[in-house]
Amino acid sequence: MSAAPTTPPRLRLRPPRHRVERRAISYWTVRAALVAVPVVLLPLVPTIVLTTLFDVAALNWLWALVAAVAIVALGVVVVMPQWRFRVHRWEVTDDAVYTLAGWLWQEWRVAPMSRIQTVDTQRGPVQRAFRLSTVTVTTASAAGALRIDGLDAERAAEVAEQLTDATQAVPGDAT
Amino acid sequence: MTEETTTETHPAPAWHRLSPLTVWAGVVVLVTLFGIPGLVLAVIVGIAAPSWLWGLLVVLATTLLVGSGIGFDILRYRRTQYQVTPERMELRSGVLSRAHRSLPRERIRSVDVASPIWARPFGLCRVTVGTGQSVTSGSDQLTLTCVTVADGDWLRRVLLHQDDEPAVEEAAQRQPAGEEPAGSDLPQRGELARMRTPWFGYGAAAPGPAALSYSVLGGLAASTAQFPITWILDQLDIETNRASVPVGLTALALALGVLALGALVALALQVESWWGYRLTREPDRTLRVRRGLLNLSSVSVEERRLRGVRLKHYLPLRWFGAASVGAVASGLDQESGQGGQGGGLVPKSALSPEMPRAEANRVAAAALPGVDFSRQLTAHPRAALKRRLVRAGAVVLAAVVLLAAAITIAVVATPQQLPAAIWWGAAVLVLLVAVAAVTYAVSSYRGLGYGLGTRQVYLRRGVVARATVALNRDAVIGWTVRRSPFQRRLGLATLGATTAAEAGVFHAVDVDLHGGLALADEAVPELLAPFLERD
Repeated sequence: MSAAPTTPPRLRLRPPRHRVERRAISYWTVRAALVAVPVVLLPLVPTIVLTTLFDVAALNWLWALVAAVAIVALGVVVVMPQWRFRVHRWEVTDDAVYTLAGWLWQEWRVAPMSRIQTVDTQRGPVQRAFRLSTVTVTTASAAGALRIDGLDAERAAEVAEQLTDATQAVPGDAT
Repeated sequence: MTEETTTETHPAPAWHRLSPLTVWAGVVVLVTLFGIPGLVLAVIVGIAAPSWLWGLLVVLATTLLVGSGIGFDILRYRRTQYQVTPERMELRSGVLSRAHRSLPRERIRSVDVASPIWARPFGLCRVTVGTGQSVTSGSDQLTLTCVTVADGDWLRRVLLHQDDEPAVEEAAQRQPAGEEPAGSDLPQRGELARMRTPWFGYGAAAPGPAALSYSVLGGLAASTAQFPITWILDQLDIETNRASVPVGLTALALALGVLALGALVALALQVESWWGYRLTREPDRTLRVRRGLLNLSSVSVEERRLRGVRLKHYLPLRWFGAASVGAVASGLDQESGQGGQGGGLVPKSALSPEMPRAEANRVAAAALPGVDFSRQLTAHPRAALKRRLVRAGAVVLAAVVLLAAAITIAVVATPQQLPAAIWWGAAVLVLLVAVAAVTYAVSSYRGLGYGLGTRQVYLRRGVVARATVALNRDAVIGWTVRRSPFQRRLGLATLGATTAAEAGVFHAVDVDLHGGLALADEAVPELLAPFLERD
């Protein structure tokens, strides 16, 4: 935008090599629904109660509010998992771990193998139902953790093992 | 002198106690804070109350309070022990619930030796050991209250003195390949900076002291102002019309008075905090800040744990060309000290008081070789300005909507026609909001900047609290690139350099994607390169 047309080729980040499991779409849908349902119920229940008790025109506004919340919630539940699946990617090279995550807000993260401190795999109850795992890679930075969400459980264990082996080979973590 | 004797008294690892004088210092504090006021109260009560027995009751209560305080101090003294072994520092403490905390010495990042005013007559000091990891819940520090000054000095030197392998190894790593040998810019030893009297003047508006001073005055004013004002209004009630002008003038005079008084108090606090300020590079490769008039403070930061330095040019003082320097390191995390203990006025990371900008540049360069804050930073693209102006527009729009709603309600509620002054007032208000919002947006944009030096990455941001961070290139342990939908459309990104200090990441907000990636790629060669594409 600010550059003149004569500048050398412009840099871009290429997407990391691997996609996450397709099952992650279902997992994200369930996870989003677990949040969306209470969010919709919260205004819905009082509105139903009020409607049965009173017959006031002002209640239409409440119904409009409920409808607005429901539409947004439904939109997130339907769109977000697909979008995430198209965005989320990860890659482990000999020298670094590279992830891309998010949907509206997207974030690329790179951490060199030599600076990795811990490698964890986590499996929540919902993830377990879909045989998925999250691999979390932390560095000495309080804000630099990389998460690979939606990996197949076995694949995640392999990746974690590979990373642990690789990081033990490299000394020093810059603390 | 004292150095040899103290070193000899602590040859082998052994459990040490705090100084027994701690108890006596505690006695003095308790008697001054509670004993004397208690006695005064007892005399007053004894005279005023129907029976002198009431006064005796107050004396008894005071004695009980002071006595139990002293008892607690004695127990605390007897149950607190520390030892320094070759690998660890250990602390046993706690009167009711005992705690044994053990800290690997290689994790020690900073040692803070403070002599609060009540401990100074006894030759005592409080030692706070900072680490990069949490030792107790919510804290990454071990505190000894109090040991003798000689012991404190011994602890400071022993805990930070590590001329073992890792130090040498990291020092070697510090020199990025392809750079000229360090002979030309060997770090300057000894004294790097000392206080000059005119600098105290900046204290009147220095962030810490001024904020404290004005918040205390504001609180006082808010809690007491009601009485005199109602009293004055009551007195003038009969002649309201004639009195309205003097009342306005009084208010103005009062505001000016508060402003002057606040500045004076802030000035005094600045003198208290920074009297005798010295920044030195010690032979054991630590940076040491000494300062304080009544409460002495000495903070030592291990140099190889220094990730960078920060030049803070905060707003009121920026207009006067002042800036201050702070360290970017782990173990100094708490920006505002520990709940008042250890002096919350000046952050532990402070390397200098407010001083002229050029002087601050010099101190920063002396503290961290290679830093040059006078360099020109690359501006962020115009799109970043556009984003900020759009946000300013949204603020103005919100103001207009709010005002319109308020006026509509007023029109509906009142039968008479609204006076024209209301419309004028609304227009002026919107104009003021617009000017303020646009000024803020432009200032915010002009605050953004990034740059690359031989050894550091420079990131600048902020409007009121504007600061430039110079982060060591070899301390960057990862990159993050975040893009919102708006940023993707405008070709912008928020670049983050992660490091092992403070919040863990420093951001370049709204940088153009190409520029940010080029900076990251050049700053830390080969980390990002495999993931970059050109088009």
